[in-house]
Amino acid sequence: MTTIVLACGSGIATSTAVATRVREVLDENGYAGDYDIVQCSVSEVESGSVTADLLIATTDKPEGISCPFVSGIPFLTGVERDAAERAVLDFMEERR
Amino acid sequence: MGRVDTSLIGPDLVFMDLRACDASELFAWLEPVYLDRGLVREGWLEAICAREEAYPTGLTFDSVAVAIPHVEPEHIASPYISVIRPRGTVRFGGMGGMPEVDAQLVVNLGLQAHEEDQVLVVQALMGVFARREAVDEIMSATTREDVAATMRRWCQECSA
Repeated sequence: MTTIVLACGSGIATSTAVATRVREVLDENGYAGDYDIVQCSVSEVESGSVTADLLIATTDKPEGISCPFVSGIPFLTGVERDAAERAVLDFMEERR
Repeated sequence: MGRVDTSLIGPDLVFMDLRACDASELFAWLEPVYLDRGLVREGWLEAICAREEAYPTGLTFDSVAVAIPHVEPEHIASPYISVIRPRGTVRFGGMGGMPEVDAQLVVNLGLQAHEEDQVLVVQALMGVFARREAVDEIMSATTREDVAATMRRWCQECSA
């Protein structure tokens, strides 16, 4: 099981919008059941209280994280969404 | 996704003739209005300025630059969504380390925690901003009633 952490400033507003898109993309590509999405605030990631296999955030990349990072902004705006989706799918593919 | 509750988008919280050079100037103008209507608590201005500084909310879509400032729920007294279509643009930091944004449209999300229907509105708004014809209609609406109605209609369209 892969833990994908979706973080934003509060862990409520923008991370939820991104989570929906990420779920759609993963499920359409046959990854349903292979992942868990955890939403939280970026400060919970920085403090280490939440650990991720992949971090997607609508904030700057947090300092000191060791897992791969994908910006969540393209999932909100649609601008360069293909590349962001590709990055998430490539990550899942490597773990298969 | 089902229909979203767009009742929070009301004409009385649409502001069309504001001029502000940056986010804090805009927030300073808005605070007394929101306080007067019982929407936010004392301290909102300081909180939203700090929040915007730490986590900027400017977003560049293909056909419009927007900002969606919001603050921790404890500063909100009653949930609301307020739409500001300023004269000129308002400078916001870019979300997620993106370049600064000269926002043509600002949507202040007065959201309270874990209210599913409010989050759905955020999601619908993202879909609206990504649709050129929706943005064109919102930007050319001539009254606050028209702005609110247009946004509500497109939110439903984009969540169907």
